[in-house]
Amino acid sequence: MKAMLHQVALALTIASATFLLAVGGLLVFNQTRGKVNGLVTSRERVTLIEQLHKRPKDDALKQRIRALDLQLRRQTFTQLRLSSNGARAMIGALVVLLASAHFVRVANRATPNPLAWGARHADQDRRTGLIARYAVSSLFGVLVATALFLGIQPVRLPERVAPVVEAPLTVAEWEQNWPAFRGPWAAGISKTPVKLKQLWKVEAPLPGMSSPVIWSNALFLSGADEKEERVFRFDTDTGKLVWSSPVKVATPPAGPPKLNEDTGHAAPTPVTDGRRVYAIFANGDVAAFDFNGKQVWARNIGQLENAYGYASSLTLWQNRLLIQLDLGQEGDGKSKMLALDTRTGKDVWQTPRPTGGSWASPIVAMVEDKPQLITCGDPFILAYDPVNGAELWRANGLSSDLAPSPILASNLVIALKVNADVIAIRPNGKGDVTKTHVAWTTTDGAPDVPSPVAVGNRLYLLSGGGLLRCCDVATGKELWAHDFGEEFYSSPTLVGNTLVMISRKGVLFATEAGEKYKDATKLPLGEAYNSSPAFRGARMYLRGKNNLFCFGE
Amino acid sequence: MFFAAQRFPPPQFTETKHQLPVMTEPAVRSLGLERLDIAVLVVVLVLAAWLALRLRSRRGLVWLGIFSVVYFGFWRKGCICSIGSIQNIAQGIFDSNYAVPVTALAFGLLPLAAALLFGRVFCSAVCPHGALQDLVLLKPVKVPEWLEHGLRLLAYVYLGLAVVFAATGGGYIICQYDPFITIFRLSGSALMVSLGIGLLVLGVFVGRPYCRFLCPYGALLGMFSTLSKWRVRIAPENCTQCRLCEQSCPFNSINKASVDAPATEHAIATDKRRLAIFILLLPVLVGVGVWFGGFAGKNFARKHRVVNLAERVHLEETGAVKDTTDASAAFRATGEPLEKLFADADAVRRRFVVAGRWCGVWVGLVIGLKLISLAIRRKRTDYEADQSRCVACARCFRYCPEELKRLGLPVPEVPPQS
Repeated sequence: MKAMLHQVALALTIASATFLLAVGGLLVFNQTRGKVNGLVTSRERVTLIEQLHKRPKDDALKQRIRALDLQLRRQTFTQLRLSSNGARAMIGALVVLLASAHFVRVANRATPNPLAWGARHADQDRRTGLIARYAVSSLFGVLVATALFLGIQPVRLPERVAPVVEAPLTVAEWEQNWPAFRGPWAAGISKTPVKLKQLWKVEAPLPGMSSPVIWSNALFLSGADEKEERVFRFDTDTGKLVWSSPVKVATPPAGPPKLNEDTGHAAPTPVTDGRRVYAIFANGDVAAFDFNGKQVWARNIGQLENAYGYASSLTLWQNRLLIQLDLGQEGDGKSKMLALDTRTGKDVWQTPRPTGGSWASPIVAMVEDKPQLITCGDPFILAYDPVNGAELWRANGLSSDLAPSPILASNLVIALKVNADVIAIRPNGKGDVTKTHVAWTTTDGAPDVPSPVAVGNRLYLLSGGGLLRCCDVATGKELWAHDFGEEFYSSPTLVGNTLVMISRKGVLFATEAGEKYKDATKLPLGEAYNSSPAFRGARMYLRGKNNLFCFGE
Repeated sequence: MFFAAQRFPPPQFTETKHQLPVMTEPAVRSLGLERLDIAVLVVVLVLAAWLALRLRSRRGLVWLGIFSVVYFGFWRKGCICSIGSIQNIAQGIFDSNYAVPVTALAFGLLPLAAALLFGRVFCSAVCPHGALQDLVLLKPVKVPEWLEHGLRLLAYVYLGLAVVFAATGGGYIICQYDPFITIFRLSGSALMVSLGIGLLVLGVFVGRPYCRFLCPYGALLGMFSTLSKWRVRIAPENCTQCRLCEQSCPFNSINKASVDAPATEHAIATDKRRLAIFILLLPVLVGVGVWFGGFAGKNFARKHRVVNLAERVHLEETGAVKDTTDASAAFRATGEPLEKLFADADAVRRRFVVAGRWCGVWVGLVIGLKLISLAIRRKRTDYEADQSRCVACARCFRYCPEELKRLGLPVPEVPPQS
């Protein structure tokens, strides 16, 4: 009976060991197969997704990825189930193996026989002690060598330098200045009235369609031609040129950009945060200068393929320089929003845009105490979180050849479909809000270049052809209209309670922003004009085709 | 949060309106169950002590070990375990923002208290790691004693490193590299599964390889058990030096009776000189440990997630790498200034250097004291269990003819003394 039990135990030992090896081998194979072509590691999946980024509208490709994704998911989860069940089976087999093997071992155990081990000698202990000391010393040597090996590959961090304390940009200082295109929130509003008395006039050293920006007593301007790109600082009190700094990019673009003469090389307005001033040019050069004119960083962000030349102005939020890159055609995957670190120029985030080329500028507006980066492109109005570039909402409704920038007025985003619709959107939605958050749309025609301005319940729309319309912000209903009979590229600005508009011929029109149109005051500048004015206190700064003007007192 | 990631990529097509399941976290073990765990630990510790010291029952310890493997291992998924609890306690001491959970404290301190009273009864049948290795030991092979002396020091080094990493926020390396947790949880990385299975296969021939050569808690228990009030005895009363137990311990934990040999004056003088040299060497070893510990600490810091992230971001900033990782991209999206990240990382790195030096002190002391201990000649009259090494497995009891007599079992013929 005992012999039979011994035989059974032996057979069980062998059988369970064989089972363990077989299942173990199977699990290893299963694991290896999963590594090669798993859901996370599938090269084919990655390649197809990369292709989809280039061809986002390829439905056949989407179907292929879906099918592959489903297949990989099924395969992965089947493998996981197999691994789990296999492991349980192995534990069961291990229990059988141990029980049977112990039984066999106990049955075979013989009484120890010290005589067979031979006599013990004092030398043995002495020798063991000696070798043990060598072993312990060797271990210390190995540990020291390991520490040495690890220590010569230390953590690599930048050299410790005294941290540069840079106070974060506050809303208060942002609002005290005219730091970006159309002012702090791109609304085109300056609260202090300005006297139309010219204080000074100086020559703008290089051509440019961009507008001036102001921080304290520093006025910044960008200018460029085919040969050079520069940023200028003027003294706001005297008009004196404080410095003129060239943009020096480590890797310049291969050739000059294709652009329209009306747009030029320096159409986008710079932006400043009081620490540095940032400028972008038609060839993709972006640069930052400190207030002493020293270039802090500069880089080329690539060819800006745009039908008329790149014109979107810069804006920023905290330490992110925000660039709307609407390039190429809708659906070709070339457009994106790009955020650079204002201190280094490195990418912080970029978000692809489903839009084609446009010339509108992005704005940052506070919606329910949270910042939104609001942009217009063809065909969407898109809002992002300026911190991380996550899309917040979008609404369909715009079209190509888009130049006017959006504004936030009475908690509504006003966007213009060129020569067609004016669209008002409640900016508190998520995802596609086309059907849910459009407050109103009018089809009476929208400006083609100038951006709108609004005060109280009145929205003012100035078309490129010179028609000024006043509408109700809440409904879009037209209250009155007046035709100036001149062409305008410059956006209207509300100065105190006066609307200031400057025609392409360089005639400044100033009229009261009231319920009814009142005859406008006219002031000829004496030269062509296309940019938008900048303000600080009771002064207004205009960049004409050749000169920079200061009005006020 | 920079370091969180989906285990599987979610479907990317939003138009399919696939509802992603809500992200869940493993449920916290209820307070009642945690108290039950502590109660079970106390009961099993007392039982192990009673079985090893009083009843002297190998069979009882085997069944208790099986219970511990099932309860503390497979059912509790091996967590919190006493071995890992060292780290909780170390972090609790050095990090004022961290409160050590009561369970971790109990699992860390109760076995140590038991060791002070009864020796390493925790290792015998309470620790699931030890019990599991004990169960798979089928064909014991003797590790040469000189090698045993060296390898056992690895556990002390591991203990020092574990405290360094836990105290500096570098992570719980004992848990990260726990070879048996993957077996208890039936899942884990391929590397750790392989390590666990490899150690179990090794454990078929080499008794308790993890307990003897790696377990940092075993090193602690060994130190505590040298002070134990009651301890395992091979012979119930008097040792007859029959040598029958000499080969019975698969863990090299039996100290043999000394072989009587007249020591010459020259030999005694040599021994004294050697001992003096090793005593003088101790501060030198500590000094070397301090220097090299601090040196290695600069590398250890890489295990800290802030340092790791900062290093990655620095590589990206200097253009050494072109792409970004999920963590670096997530960090950049927060808008936190780089300078702050680098300053934080630098502070952590300096902390690691200091901790590395203390680890070096520890290693130098361990090595130095071991050398001193090996240079001391001891005289033993009986075969006895080594107080520090013995895991109270009770294998040796049945080899002792005195024990067989006590149990009223037939005694095999005892060979004459050598």
